[in-house]
Amino acid sequence: MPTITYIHSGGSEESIEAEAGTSVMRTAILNGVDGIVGECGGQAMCATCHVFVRSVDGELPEISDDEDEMLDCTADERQGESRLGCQLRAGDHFESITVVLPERQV
Amino acid sequence: MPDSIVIIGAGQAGVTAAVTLRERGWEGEIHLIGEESAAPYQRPPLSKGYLSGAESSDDLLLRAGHLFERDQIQLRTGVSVRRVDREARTVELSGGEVLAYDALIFATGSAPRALTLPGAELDGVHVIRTVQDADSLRQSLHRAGGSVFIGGGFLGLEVAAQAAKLGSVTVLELAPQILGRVLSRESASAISAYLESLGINIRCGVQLREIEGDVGSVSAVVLGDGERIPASSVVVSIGAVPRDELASECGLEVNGGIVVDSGLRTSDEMIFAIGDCAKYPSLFAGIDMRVESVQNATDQARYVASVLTGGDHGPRYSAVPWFWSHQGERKLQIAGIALPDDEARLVEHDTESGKLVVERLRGGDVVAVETINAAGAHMKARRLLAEMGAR
Repeated sequence: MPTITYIHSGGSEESIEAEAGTSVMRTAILNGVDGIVGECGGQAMCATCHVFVRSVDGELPEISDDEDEMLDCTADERQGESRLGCQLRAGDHFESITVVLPERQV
Repeated sequence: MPDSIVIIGAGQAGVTAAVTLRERGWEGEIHLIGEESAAPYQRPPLSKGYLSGAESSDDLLLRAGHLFERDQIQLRTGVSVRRVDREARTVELSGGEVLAYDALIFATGSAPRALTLPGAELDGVHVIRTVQDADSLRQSLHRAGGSVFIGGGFLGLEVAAQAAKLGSVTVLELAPQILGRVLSRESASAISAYLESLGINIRCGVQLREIEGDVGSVSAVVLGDGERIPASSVVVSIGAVPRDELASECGLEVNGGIVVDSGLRTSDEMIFAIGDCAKYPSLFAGIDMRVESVQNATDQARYVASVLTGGDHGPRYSAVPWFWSHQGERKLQIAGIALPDDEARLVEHDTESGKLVVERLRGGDVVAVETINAAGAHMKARRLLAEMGAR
């Protein structure tokens, strides 16, 4: 199964096996990983599932125009490795991924 | 500091309030009471991906069930509140249990406005509010025969765009235009033209006489002039009414919603109301109003959680309102709040891609921006309005 490792802003880590097709955002919500809000339910409309991708085994999709615009409006400032967790799906885009969570989502 | 917080309603507002209280370090009891038997879920997908079948009921969950336990949030589902005793500061649950509260939050939401028309009770007449509503609507739309939508608001039109993939669809609107109350004429016309391009027959300015049935099931909608529109499904989506009965019964001020001040407090100091049910003085609209949106529910929930945990939330609730709706393949977003009389200025319209930007102005100031397929302009508007709100 694909694996997602979340690194909290404080430094602690948790690794979770994700269902294929489930996003980094959704996996966090279903497993109680704090630090991801995902208010719009994964429509790339709210920018509250911001993550910094540290490493990835797989090929992430290009950043769409919508995602690009949303990333300009995140609560913690955008960096080079910023993505929206709702756009990154286990299996489809990666076998394993490590993401750092921002301090704030809203 | 109070020891026990009771939250009535386990939708987006109630759940966000409970979770945020814990996140902010609240150590007392949190009781979250949900009338529906299902675990707390998100409603927006009910008229979008869940209805189409692209998303499952697991995808709807606001959070996994075990997390409420982990966070020591006492969640009760399938339980309603019978009465609130403000003197004793207790709520009595449908099973007879009595809970004491130090602070109480109404997050009771809203309910579909009922259609008063002969035949409204027939099988095949649907509303969209709960997961059961969406399940039964999905089955109904897959049956042969056309569907008729009563009411041309965001919710009904989202469903109509999906139903158009399955059969003939007619939208009936009493007003001269769909979305007239909530959008500028420019944006509403663009949505209307797009929906018509999907094959939807939109009829505005109509009167309704009755819904006709055949052995208890809907067969047609009859217009005021006697015209009969055959239908095997009728979807009624004519707005929502606040769930403010309980608040009214315990003597709180209600007036088309539970009346709260700019800090979301009711006429009782230790009782708050948030989300769809709360009527509050909107900084952005300049009037008292209710707002039905995920943003409103969650931002108000976080505000009250901050008040109850002594955060730096500011003296009044002032989050920028924003809203989204999927109309078929088009993404509509609104930042800010416009009133029907506010001026409209068309900034950009590309009919091919559907991209549209319309500013709404009041006294020369931009108070809202409506966009279609233009996330960048939407986000820019939100930032701008946030600066305005902070002034």
